[in-house]
Amino acid sequence: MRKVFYLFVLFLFSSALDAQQAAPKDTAYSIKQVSTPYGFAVQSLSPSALEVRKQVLKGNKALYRLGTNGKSAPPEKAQFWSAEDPRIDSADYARKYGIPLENVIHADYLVEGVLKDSTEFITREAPPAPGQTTSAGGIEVVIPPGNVRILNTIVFKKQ
Amino acid sequence: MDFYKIIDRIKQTLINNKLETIAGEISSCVQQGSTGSEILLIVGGHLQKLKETAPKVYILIQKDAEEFISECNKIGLFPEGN
Repeated sequence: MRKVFYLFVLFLFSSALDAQQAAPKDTAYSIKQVSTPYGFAVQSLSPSALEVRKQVLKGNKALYRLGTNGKSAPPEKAQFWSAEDPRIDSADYARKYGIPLENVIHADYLVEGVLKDSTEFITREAPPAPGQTTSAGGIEVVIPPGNVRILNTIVFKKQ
Repeated sequence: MDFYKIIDRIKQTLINNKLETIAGEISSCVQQGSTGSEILLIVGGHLQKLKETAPKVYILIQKDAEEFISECNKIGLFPEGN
């Protein structure tokens, strides 16, 4: 029931935005969601999420995903990607993308790719990291399984 | 909302009731995720699954589990148990 309520509120909000603007080709303002084996995630209407959405639609935005052997979904099936390279600053990446730092430190590999088909994906702020109550603003890209063309896989050497 | 604080409370309740295995499953859900939304959906989906498959266990964590799911819904995540 609660789910229906939130979708209804989102629908009203998106309808109001649609009414104010000529219908764009990419209707990011209409309800968009991506289903996963654990439930579904909805498109964010924040300016930063919509900006990343535009970049992904152009087809040249690199997507990144850290993985741990035996735990993470394999890259060819993975649905949750980030818009930033975690190698730049691991601690900042963990904070921005709402994950425990251990998930970054213990990762076995990093996959880089680009979206194959731009018709089905959403962008959204990552939730707050452990110990935080607000999002630090990392933008996630959520896609149907197999919708990323993998460009590069970097395997991390463990000490 | 600090989602991980709720997860820790759920795990602690399970441990206090000698349900370490299920607490370990929740920890494993957290370790699987590459982004925060992935973690919340996996954990939330697992909680929804417990509601169906282990109702006596779910009752122990119901308050925290419902808060977790409700907070997920507020940020556009809708966990489902399969």
